Amino acid sequence: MGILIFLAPLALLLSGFGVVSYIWACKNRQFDDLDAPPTKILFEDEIRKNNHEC
Amino acid sequence: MTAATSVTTKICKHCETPHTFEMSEFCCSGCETAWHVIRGRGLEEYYRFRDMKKAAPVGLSQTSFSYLASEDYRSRHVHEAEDKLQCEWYLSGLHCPACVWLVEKVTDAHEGVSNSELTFSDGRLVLFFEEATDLKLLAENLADLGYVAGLQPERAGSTNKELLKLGIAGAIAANIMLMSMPFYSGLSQGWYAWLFGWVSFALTLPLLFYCGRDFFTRARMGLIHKAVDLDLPIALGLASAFALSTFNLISGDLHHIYFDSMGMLVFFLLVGRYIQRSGINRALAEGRRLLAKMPQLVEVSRNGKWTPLPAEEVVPGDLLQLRSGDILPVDGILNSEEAVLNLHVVSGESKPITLEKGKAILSGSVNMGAQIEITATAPFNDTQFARLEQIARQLSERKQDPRGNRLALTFMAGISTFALLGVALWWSTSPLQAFSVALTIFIVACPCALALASPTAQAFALRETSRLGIWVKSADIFRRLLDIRQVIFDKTGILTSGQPTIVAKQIFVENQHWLEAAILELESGTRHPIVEAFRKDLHPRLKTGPASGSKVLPGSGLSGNIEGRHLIVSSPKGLALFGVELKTQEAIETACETLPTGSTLICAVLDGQPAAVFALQDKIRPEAATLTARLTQQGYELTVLSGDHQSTVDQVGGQLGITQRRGNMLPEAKLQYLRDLRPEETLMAGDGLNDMGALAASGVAVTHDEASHAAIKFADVIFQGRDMGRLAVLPHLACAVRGAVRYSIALSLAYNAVAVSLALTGLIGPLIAAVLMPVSSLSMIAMTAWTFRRRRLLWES
Repeated sequence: MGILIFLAPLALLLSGFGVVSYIWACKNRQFDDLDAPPTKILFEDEIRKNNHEC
Repeated sequence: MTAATSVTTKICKHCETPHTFEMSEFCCSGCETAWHVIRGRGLEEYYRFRDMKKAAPVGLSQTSFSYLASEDYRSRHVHEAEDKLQCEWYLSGLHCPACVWLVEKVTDAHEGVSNSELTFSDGRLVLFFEEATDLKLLAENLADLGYVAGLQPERAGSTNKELLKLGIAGAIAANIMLMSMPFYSGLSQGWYAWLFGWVSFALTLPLLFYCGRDFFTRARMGLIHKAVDLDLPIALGLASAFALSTFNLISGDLHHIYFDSMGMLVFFLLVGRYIQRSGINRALAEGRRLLAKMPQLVEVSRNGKWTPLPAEEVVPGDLLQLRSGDILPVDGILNSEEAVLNLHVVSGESKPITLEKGKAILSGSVNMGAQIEITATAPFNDTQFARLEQIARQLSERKQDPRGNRLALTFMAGISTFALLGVALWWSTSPLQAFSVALTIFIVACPCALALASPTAQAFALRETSRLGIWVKSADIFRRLLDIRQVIFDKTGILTSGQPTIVAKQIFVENQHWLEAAILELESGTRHPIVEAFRKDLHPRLKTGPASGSKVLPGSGLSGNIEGRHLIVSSPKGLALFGVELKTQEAIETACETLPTGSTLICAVLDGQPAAVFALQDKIRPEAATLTARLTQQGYELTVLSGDHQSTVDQVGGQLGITQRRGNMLPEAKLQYLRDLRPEETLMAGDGLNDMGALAASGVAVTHDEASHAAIKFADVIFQGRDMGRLAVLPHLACAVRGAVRYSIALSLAYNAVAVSLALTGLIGPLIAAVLMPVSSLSMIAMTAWTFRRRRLLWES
């Protein structure tokens, strides 16, 4: 049980790290546009492939 | 390419809308332009990845972007960013992520633009460019593709902060749960118990005072405004849980600590609200984007020189110049000899009218003829429509009055009674215990499922509407829709297309294609609604040589020589003015008798012989008949209100089976008509400036995305792509929302009955509360999903 004194703060620290990165992501508008970026990746590839064929 | 002999339905190559034009692969010239632009730039990939369900015909943009080339724009809206210039536009017409790709390709390829970023959700386009970039041309290019740029719309309430709170609440809730595990597995005293208890307490503080703060502020506002809603029981539950748990923590009773339930409650509620808000925000963003139009510049004569000025700066007495296609921004008096005007948005009249010098012209009129000069009689903010807008704004604010929730009041009364009952039952055992039971009742009866019922059902409905291309500005309309008994239509632009179309023709010459090509050649360079109709509806397979010796008689028609033959295109009455023989005139008259009544007639005379007669009408929109039939079937009373002549209104209304028909309605008369009914029972569909008052007065106001600025502003629902046919699905969605909410409330009350009776007997502990909370919320969400799935066919067909 003694290990808890070390593990409990560690757990909190880890989740604290998660929360801080989440706050960073929100403030940097990472969640603003969830629709376009995934599709955009598809497009770029297609165009490049076409250029190679030409 | 395809056989053009029989009338077959074809699919538009750009937007895949079915159409029946013999000679065209496209449903409209807007789509045709867009398709050629995309092909020309080698961007056909667009067609592979876009979301077909949401594509809409492009249509022709009426927006003028000359403001982008002005000094005023440069100084107000362009900023310096490092060594580049930067500006922001808001685009309307984006329907899928592929559009984002297309727009970025076009902007990046534009000369002088070094970088561009477009956000799909709010349509914000940030441009980085060199000094000499032609922004006007870029905006015009985008408009050709159907993406109309506007400037800064009114700022939207950002959901970013809510997302932040929601994420933090989730993390805290999970950690408190972790810290509560030891208590559930039997730990109740000693140093560890103390540690876990106080860590949970510490974690609850930011949860309550940062993430859950809005519940308390809203509950207080509700009490102040005497409009209690479900925030009050939530705030009360949270406060009770916090007080009781802290008290028990201090006194050492670690078996009755509710911090983990609080965490879950706040998290679930924030999730529900976030989903609802983001659905509405999308709709609002679309509405705002449509409103974010370019400021209109108007040519004003100042000190004997013509200068382009923003419309707000026009003062009475200014001399204005209006080119063909321009919209008059202020009321005025005509200074030129004659003007052909389209009053569609002003009065609802579908036929263009001709005015002589000295006549008053209202703001909103569109100049369809040659360039005209007008003397302004009122400043920009004191036109007839600015005053009507004042009234409309007051009406629509009243519509959004916050209302107390009857359910919340009943619920509060119910749990307070039970809490008192608990105190009475346990008082003899120990007053402390009695107090604790009362607080436990407030905690376990926390209306989580109840509070989530409406937001969840509305979120599901909003997901369906946005999938169908319907933008809803307030989730409240699903409730208001249930009160609707009467559906009121504006005629022009809603039931009819608002532009004349050739509905019938008779050709007397052998070479029909040559004749049609010759008519188009003769008319090229003139601008008139009827000429536009010919351009849109005639698709000859060949081209003739250029016209020479053209002569225009305003109000009648025009004549000229093409490939050595003399052609006159005119109204039958105008033929005499061109010196056509009486015999030919009579022949034309006879031919016209077979054409549909109520049409505008145009005839062609070739070398003095009758060549063709055409009948033009403001055609009923293809979806209108199905829509009116469906609404009648659903039990709604239908009415058509129009500023057009009674005979035209009767003809259109009669064809659609609408029995209540009112013509010659001025804007104020339309407003009064709605006020005389029970406004909350009416649904008004309109798109003109003249419908503004009626839209604001109605219970639910609907319009489409090509409607006038004013109509979009006061509408509750905006249909994408002009198609009002989907109006009939709204009642089904409203019923589904009502059904889902009813099930959820029943479910929630059942849970509460169990929880409260357990609390009254003192049997409930934090563990049961912690289990009941998510179970009730999740089963409610599942129930709502099931309700919508089961009814899906009602709005899919």
